[in-house]
Amino acid sequence: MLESTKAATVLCGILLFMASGLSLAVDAGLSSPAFAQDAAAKQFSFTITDRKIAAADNVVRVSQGDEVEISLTADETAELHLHGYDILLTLTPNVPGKIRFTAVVAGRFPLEAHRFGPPASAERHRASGPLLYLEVLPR
Amino acid sequence: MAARLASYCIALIAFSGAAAAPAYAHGFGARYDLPIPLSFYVFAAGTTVALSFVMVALLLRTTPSSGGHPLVVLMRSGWSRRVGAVLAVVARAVASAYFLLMIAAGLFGIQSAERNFIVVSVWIVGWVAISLGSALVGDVWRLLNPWNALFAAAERIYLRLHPGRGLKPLASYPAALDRWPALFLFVAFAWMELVWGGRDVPARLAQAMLAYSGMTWLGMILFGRQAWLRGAEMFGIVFGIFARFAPLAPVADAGLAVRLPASGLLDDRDTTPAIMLLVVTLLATVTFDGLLETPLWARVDIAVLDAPDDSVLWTVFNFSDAGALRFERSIGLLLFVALFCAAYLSICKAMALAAGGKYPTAALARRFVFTLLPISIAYHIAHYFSYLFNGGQLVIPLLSDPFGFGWDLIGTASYRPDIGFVGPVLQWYVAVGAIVVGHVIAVYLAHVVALSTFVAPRVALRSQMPIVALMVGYTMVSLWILSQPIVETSPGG
Repeated sequence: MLESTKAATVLCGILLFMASGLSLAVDAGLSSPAFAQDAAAKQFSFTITDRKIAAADNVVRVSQGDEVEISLTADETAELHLHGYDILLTLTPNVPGKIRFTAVVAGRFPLEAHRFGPPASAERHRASGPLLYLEVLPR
Repeated sequence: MAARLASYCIALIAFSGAAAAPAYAHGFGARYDLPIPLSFYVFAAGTTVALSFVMVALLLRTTPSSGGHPLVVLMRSGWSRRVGAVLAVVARAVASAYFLLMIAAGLFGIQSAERNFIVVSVWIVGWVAISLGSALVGDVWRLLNPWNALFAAAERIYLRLHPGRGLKPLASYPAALDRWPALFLFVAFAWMELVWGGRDVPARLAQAMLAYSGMTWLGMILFGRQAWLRGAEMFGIVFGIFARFAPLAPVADAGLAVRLPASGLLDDRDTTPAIMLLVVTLLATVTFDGLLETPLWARVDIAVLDAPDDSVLWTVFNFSDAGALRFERSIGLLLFVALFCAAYLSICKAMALAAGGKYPTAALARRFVFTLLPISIAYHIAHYFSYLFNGGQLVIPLLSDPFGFGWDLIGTASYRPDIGFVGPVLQWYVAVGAIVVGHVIAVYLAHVVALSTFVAPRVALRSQMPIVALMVGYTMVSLWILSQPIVETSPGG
């Protein structure tokens, strides 16, 4: 009987440890310090060829609070959508377009092309993943 | 010029509709979770393995506590039961009204996933919130079930019209059917959540709900309301399985009671083969949902799409890209369920062998199946926590404008969901905390079940090893999925 009390105590200890870790995490999440104003924007530039971005790693990684500027050039008309931040951008062939924003929310956000080709054409893109992902890491 | 501008505007509106409805892995709604960082992954994996050893070593010396688990009965006084009964009637009425509003919105509202009340209500409120509420609070579905509530109301009306003779079942529910209908319906539901093209199309969802309602009420007329709820009403049975973990439980003739969380999982009196397989299927589908978003599965998707032009996919089946992906996922889902069942049954076979062949594998499989449920609930929490609170906020504006007609019934139509409400740091701690705690509870339950199954403590210890190994493996798979970046292949137009 004593033994089972001991086991129960150890279990309770473990659970308490987990709970305290969790409460610390909540604290950290709520009281994150004000972000340092970064005067210069983090700049990235990509070229879309054949409806793909040919980069070794198509993930843009920034920190929460960063000013971000992504410039994109495509070889045909493309309608792009950065999910989560909900930013739309329409590219005309071979003319660079830019999206610029402050990365306020942390998370992983896909940048997807919702349409390639001129707006009149009904052709939707072939099955594929998003063009790239934006990862905003928490501070 | 004006015409051009107008056509541009129309194109823009059409586009924004499309922008709001990309392809999703689980029913509906995007998740923007970052993968758990390596440090969390290593910490959780290490803790899991270490705790498993420590617990087995510690528990080895404990004797099983005989007798039941503590149960504190709530609502002892008569007035508290009356208040409880009134609240239950109100909750049931609200749930039934919500249910009817969902179907109406799906049939007559705007056909856009994010602007129609039905889609978020089915996947985030109906599935995620109620399953987590069942596991962490109590059997809420038993209270709310609109199919039950509406049919019971119809029964009362019938009784008032024909005093003295209520609705009698036309036949008795065949014992051989057991809970097999629920298992079959759950596989269909999981397929709809993970594969079906209509899962984020309001009208299709409403039609599916109507079909299920028709079947449920027909079953209730044929076999009686209670018999159908016990054997075939899939949602009641699945949420009831989750609710075995919950701290609140109904007690006969005494309202509610509080018990130790997870202690309800030790009650295996009613575990038939159908229920056993249903639990394993539940574990498999929840994990498969996570697997579908990993880069590993994206590679499978791409391999399927890149299949040569003379492949049977295109020549014999004549699939579109989306069709080929649905086909692949259907096969994947069934194989994954089969894999989980095979893994679990082989572990039970190993336990039977370790116990010296005196216990049949099937009996062990029924006894131990609920001990795996805490890991599944933990993964459910880890996977859906931020989705529930970030994606679920969409209900707030939609309650004001359920049909998407531009109404503002309760003044919340302009609410914009805050997708950073649950941030990554909180989500990581909740995910890892839930997984480790779930694993610890599972290992403890396996020990208690082993001691009550095998008489000799030595045999209990030996035969408990295979299932602890399975639990470590299952927890590792869950952690691995959480450490993977979310990648989605959209089937395009």
